[in-house]
Amino acid sequence: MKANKKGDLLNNVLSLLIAAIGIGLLVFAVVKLYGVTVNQEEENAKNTLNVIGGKIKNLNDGETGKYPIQGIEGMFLTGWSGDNKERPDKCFLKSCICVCKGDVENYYFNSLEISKKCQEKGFCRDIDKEQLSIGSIIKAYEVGIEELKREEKLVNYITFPKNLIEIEIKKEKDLLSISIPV
Amino acid sequence: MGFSKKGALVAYILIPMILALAGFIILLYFLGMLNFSNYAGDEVCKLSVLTRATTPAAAQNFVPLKCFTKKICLTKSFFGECKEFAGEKNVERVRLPDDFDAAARKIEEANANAKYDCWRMMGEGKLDLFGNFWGVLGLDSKMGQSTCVICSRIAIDKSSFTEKELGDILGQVDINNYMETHQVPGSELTYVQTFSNSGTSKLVVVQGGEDNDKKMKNGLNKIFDDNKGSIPDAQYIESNYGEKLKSGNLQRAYVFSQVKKEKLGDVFNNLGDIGVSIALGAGMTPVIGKAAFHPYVLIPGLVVAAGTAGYAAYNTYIGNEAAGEYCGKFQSSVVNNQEGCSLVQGVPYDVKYINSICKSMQGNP
Repeated sequence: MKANKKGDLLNNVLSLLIAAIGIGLLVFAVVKLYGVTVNQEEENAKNTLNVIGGKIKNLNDGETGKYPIQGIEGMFLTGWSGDNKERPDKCFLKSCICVCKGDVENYYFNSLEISKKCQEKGFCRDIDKEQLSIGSIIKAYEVGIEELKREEKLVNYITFPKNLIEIEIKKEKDLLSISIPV
Repeated sequence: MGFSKKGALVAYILIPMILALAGFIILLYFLGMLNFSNYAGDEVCKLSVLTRATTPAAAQNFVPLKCFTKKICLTKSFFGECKEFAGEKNVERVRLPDDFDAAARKIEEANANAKYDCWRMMGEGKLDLFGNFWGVLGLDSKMGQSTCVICSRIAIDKSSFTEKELGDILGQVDINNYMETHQVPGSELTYVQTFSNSGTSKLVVVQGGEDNDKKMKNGLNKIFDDNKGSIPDAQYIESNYGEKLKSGNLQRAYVFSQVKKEKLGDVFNNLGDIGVSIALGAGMTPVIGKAAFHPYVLIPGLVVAAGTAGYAAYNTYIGNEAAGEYCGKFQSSVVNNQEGCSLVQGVPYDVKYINSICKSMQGNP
């Protein structure tokens, strides 16, 4: 009778152990499944930022490289120098590049609004350079006195297309420049 | 005595369990050694493809394609790296043998497998993968604008070879011939038979002609430069891409593209500008609507004119590599009679080139 009780206890412990393993596997599967359905846009933004960060790291001072990057619709690449007071809080005290979500065309030249966008819906990465310059030329509508004009303007961001985009990264001693090659 | 019985029982149950667990861990370790992560990545991609294809159109936007672009570096040295992947993670290194002939076969194998894996993961082109994404992305399916996934990128670690070695090896690379003569791993069918549903073991040869040449040249002009004007093709390629070809700083990408059309008709023309060559193939083949397999037939003289013949022959800036193609009704289409074409092709990893095929992209870089 005593042996039976011990046997029951052992059986119960084993059942619990198997149940725990089963639950663990189930939780693992659910987490994996969640990973499959998690927002791909954010994941792509992080990946893109990592790829750009990796390319920057790989360049030596004085080198320039051109790299095809897969665009993400509705997102843009921008960045701030370490001494720029408008940079988002998530950049802390360093220069940073950010991939952010938003209709940036409404904020052509408003750096503060762009910074706000990146603080709210963006991913940033520190850059080990004092000065950072990110720029592209866009065709912006400018309200003239007589008519609506569309002129080329230099802005401090690069809007991602739906397909590939080529960016040029130039690394100098204290300056990092990212632009679209002409 | 009862105690020893209990001990025996514990040993009887626990020891096999511990051994089984240890065996499982060892198995996992070896699977990891055998590039399990890539295998898992392929399966996750395939699962997401199936999930999306079988999801009602209204919910398709919430099913992301979990397909990561594979980065494959072909190198001769043990710790070789491809500068094309500098700063990028999860680069798979494939070692090339010292023997030139064997190295050429390995390069062919890597390319053929990349194309086949892409084709397999994307449901052999028969699944309606981008459902109502055309509308969401602002593309017009009636216009036949294609959406793509870059399945893999393949580069060669040029620094692990001398220029002559690389030229000699690449001069022997013939991916089309490899696909005609070699079987898909784990299958009795060759790559060509697999792509063509066993219908044929040989690639369809499309004859050139005055009209075809004209169409191709028009397509090429759009790809390379709208302002190319009357500059001779060979001269244009040499001046714009000659340096890239000579430096060998090129890589191939295996791109899956899909385009939908209410009527198949001239859908081939809409697979991007590069689809001109496909259109020619389709026009010459009486099996539209079934899986078919067509070569690119583009002006070979241009390739020869540009840079190192060996590298150019492999990395053909003007592609000459056969593409896997399916045209017909999508099996999983939630829209009745939705037809279209899917294509997997090896192309240079070049922004202008790929953007000429892909108006939009999905998957993870």
